Amino acid sequence: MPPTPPTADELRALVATQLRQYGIDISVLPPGGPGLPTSDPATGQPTQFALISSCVSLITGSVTFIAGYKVDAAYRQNVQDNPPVLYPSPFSAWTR
Amino acid sequence: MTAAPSDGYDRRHFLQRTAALSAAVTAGSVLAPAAAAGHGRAASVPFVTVEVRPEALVDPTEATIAEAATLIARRKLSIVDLVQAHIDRHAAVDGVLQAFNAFVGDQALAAAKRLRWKRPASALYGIPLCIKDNYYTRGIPTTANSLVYQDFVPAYDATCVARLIGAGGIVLGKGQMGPLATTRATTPSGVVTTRNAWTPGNPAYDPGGSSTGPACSVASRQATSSIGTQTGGSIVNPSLQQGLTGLKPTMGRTSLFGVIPLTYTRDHCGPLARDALDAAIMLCALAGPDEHDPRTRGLPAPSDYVKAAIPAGARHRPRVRYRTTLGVLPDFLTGGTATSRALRQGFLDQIASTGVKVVTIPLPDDWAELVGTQFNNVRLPERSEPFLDTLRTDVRQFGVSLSSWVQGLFLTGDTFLKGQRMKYLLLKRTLEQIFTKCDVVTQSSNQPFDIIGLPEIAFPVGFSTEQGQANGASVPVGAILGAGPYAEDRLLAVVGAYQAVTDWHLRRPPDPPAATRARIRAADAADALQLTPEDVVEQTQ
Repeated sequence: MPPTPPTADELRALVATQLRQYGIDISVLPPGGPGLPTSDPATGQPTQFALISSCVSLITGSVTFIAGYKVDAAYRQNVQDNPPVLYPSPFSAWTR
Repeated sequence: MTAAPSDGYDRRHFLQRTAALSAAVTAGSVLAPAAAAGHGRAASVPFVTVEVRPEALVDPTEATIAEAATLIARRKLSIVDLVQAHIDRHAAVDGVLQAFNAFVGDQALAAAKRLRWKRPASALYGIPLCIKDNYYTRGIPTTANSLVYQDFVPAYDATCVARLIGAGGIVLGKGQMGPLATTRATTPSGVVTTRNAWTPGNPAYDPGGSSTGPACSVASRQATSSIGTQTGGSIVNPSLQQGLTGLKPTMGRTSLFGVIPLTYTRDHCGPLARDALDAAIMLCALAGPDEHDPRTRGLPAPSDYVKAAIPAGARHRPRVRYRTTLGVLPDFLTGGTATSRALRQGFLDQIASTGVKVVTIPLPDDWAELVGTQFNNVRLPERSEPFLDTLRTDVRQFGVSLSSWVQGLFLTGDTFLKGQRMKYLLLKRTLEQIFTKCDVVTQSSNQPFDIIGLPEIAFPVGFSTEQGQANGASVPVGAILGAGPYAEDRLLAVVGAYQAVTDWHLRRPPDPPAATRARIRAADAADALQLTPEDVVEQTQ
């Protein structure tokens, strides 16, 4: 049985905690909140609430999609056909 | 007995080269690529002689690079007059258009005076250029339009800039851009600056980003040509929006040394030019290995791009330079408005008349997933990594663009690695399922070829009054073509042939009307158009 997915509040806490762990201080941004403006028009800076929301969105969107993505059922075998490559086009020339 | 073992790769050479570069960078005194290769590369930019249009004879700011070079070589135009004409043009229109972030007219004029008695050494000799503000320019502020680089004045030129100067190009100034190369050009707080040269009275109509200023400067005749960077469409999109021919070369074809990074493995340098021939001339200066950027080494040698861009055949019946098959993907004729679809169909009809064989081909397997937003986001950690110190110091320096720099910290290592694996698979699918059937292919989005570093070219195919937010104005509509690795010559040949039988690329936007200029002067800051952080996340390159 798969584990229970985290709640929105848990994900927000995860983001806030990791930012603190990195030493990144977002308390200098406007606090914001649900239903409030998402940025400070004078500076363009996002609010703390909006910034954390955008990170949660990345985790629940791209990270979750990529982690679960398989080209086909034989993915573990296929990894040997598809090496991770930072520079695909130059790689095609370097390995001619 | 066998011969002596090879001992593998020459480690000593590798270490000597990287140690020398490291020491020079640390000392802040890199012998610019100009010293290493820039001046020596001028010879690789050939002379070009073309028939000069009457408009260019009357007004030097109308001229393409090839036309200006022709006039300079025939002593019908002085370099000083050419540069002065662009300075005057800048003074007349840039208060409205805001194409430049920094303008160094006096410096450009001094450079023109130094060159004027010398024998032109290339087609770029004395050509006024706009440089996107994320290229290092020695002694000229380089801010990437961000508070992060406020007051930064590089001690040396980026390789691409050094090569253009080495070929005789003259830097007019720095092109306005989206902060750190993210969106259309805005202030760090998101207030829109640069306008589309075709809609000077309407800031809402997208000028394309993030090489907005370089595109606007060329479209509005403030510069003869320009260079930009592309991570996610930032050369081809401004070119489409402003009627230019923009070429994003294959990764490694042009050096990224001295360019402020957005996504180090996906950033590309290339020209935003008036036509395929001008793009070819610019690429001749830019292309080739650079000892300061290892990604440029060990690749196929640059081709004769100028020859490629000049069609074969008689003048009245131009033919594409190389036998070429153009693949049309299903989405090329389905998106956009009815007019834009008709214009793209018209392009296919006309390119066929130059000898290009047109075939339809299906999308490769798993295309939508492999080129979609989710896998595209694997670029974000590369945004965060070089700037982590700045994020720790004060996140406010990123202004409206902050979100994606912080988002990048939350992509996990395994998903980043899978993204790189899928890039390889995407290239394999592209080579096996597209480029076994054709030589060049239509693109409905820049994204697929940005992900895997393949070359693209954007160019105008007509005009429309139906484009969203243009309020009925007649604005350019364009198309994008892509090709296999290092086949820039093929792209230039196709577009060069197309432009020999059409005149869309010769059309220029009208001057901003006086009423617009007065309105801009009277505009209250509260009326300014401003992007929000959500807009930036959606539009970011």
